[in-house]
Amino acid sequence: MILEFLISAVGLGALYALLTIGVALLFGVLGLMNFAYGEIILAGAFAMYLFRDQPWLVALLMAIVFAVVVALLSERLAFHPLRNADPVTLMIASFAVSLAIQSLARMTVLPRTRGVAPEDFLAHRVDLLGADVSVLDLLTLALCGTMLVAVAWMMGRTSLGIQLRAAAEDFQMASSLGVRANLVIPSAFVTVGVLAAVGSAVLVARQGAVSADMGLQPMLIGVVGAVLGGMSSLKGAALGGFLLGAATALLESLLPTDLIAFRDAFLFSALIAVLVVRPQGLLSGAKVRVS
Amino acid sequence: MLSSARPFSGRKAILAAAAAASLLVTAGCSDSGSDDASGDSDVITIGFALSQSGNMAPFDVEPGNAAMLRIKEINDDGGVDGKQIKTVTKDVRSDPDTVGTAATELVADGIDLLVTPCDFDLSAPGAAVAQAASVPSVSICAGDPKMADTTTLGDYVFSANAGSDVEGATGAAWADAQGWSSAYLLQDESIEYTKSAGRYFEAEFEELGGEVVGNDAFPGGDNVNISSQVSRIKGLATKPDFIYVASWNPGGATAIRQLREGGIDVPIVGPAALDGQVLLDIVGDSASDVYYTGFACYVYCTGADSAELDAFVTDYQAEYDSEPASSYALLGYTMVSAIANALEGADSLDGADVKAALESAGPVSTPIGEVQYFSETCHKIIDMPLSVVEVDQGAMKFVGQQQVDGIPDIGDENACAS
Repeated sequence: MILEFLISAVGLGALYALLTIGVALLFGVLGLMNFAYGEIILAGAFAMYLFRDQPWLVALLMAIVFAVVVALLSERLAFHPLRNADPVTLMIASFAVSLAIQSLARMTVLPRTRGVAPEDFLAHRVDLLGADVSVLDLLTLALCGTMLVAVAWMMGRTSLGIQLRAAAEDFQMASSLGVRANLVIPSAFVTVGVLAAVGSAVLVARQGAVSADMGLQPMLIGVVGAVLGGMSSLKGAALGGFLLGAATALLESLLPTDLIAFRDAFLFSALIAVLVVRPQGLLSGAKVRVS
Repeated sequence: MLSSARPFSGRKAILAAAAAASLLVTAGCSDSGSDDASGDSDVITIGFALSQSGNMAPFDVEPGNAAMLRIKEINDDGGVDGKQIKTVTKDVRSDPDTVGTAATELVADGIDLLVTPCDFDLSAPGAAVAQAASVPSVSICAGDPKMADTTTLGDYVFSANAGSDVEGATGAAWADAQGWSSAYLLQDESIEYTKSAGRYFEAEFEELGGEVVGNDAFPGGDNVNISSQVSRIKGLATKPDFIYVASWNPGGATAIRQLREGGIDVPIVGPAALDGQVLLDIVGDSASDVYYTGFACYVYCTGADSAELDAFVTDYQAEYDSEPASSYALLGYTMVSAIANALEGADSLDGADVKAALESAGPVSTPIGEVQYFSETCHKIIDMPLSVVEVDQGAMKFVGQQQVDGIPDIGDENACAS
């Protein structure tokens, strides 16, 4: 019972951490609060729907392709021309991109909610140390965990990661020291696309539904998690997302039936309490980067 | 600074003037348009304020289309007492604010009757506007009992549906008829519809002698994760005979999927908002023993063998080039039948006369049988024959029709309770 709960709570935490990093990465590198993040997730989810009859791994690969293409297109068409604009302009632009993609999806391919049937192997249940857990929960944990480790490795050990971190720290200084903006920014978008695609694959496997406005909630989770952990630190963002997911699972299992409807009220009250004590977020330095 | 600002503000002023002028022109146009709508007494004008987009669109678009289809049929047959039905439509985009604005505009256009969206929360602002102008409003399929309560929103407000109280009670009656005596209630807390379905299910099931051995809730909406609820059900000392999932699509379908994936295999019963192809797609081919009380069994559901339903689907497809994706579509079609049936005896098209005609009309013939729509105290359907549909390994099958004569009084001032 405890182990089952732990696996599901940690799985949800890892998924939320994944969503959060996608938001925090672009904020760090570009100063971009990307509200179109949900639509990158939508692109991945739509691929999961489109290729639902193919093997799951094929669908996952296609989800990555779709999400990366949408992420790159949004960079090229909307954010590239605004590269030197201030953060508020970028944020408004991301709203526009979000609404445009969402409306386009609704008018063309997703006028109403579509269902994606569960994969047999994911619905399978296994016995793990006496606990009865589903493959989906284990896969969520493994997939999101792997992605988190991969991002940490990329940021810490590769040249690209160092350039990304340098750009996140001080974009102007980094570019005068030879970090090429035209390489760093698109690769940040590609990374976000891959993270969003993995997130969307897990979301679709859990929910089974794909609709034009499905990106809204994951995007909000990403933003809230990033604020909680500290916008300027990727580690902090991951921690914030993880705590948000784990706290959600904990509230679901502890709250009495009458109060479950108000789960989010409890969750966000706790969030406000944390932000009163640490307005810069959990793992952020004392200085808050505004742009 | 000053010199650079001047030409800009000058240009802005010209733009503003141009915008104001174009507003005046369009305002003038719509004024002359509304004269046409109200001036002619040989037509019945029905205003449709439905969602063509947004999260409620799946519940509004098809019933709206089906209503238009029925209006076309009636007009082709010579209209209602020789009067043609004219329609004016506005998209309310699943937004309560827009519903109020749309209703105000439609009422100003001189409509005789307003049709509001398939949901109480969305219909309320529109119905309130119509009530203030003494124009009857009919929600195309809102299920919350408050929609039909003559005191909540007013006595000019109707709903062309049985309602979630009837759906909950009918689900309880059907489960009782299967010999099931212990139920577990899984409550979706997201909208009024699901809350009243759960309340009336519980009341009726206990009135019939069954026992609700436990209940749990989840917040509902788009992002459903009920793993804690699943482990609590698995932790029960004795398995209930079935679980009533008071929810709606797509969250309800997701909840059912997660129950089954969680290894819970008792039968599941739910209300009509689970209906549609999307339920089948979300729960997948391996789920079985899932039942819901829908409005009809057609297209994606087999076994109803009704020539009238088949004719409806054929006509719908001929008109809109696609088959209805849920049985809510039928409600729009039968609503127009009921309105036309009532208006045949109306003294005039004044709001008060239309209201009286709706309240006093007799039963109307529909593809699912004779249905009595409204009465003076209850502005919705009570004894609606609901179709119990079974989801079984990727297919939907018609199980039978279930009907209740009345709904239990649970002390929430529901005027339709017996």
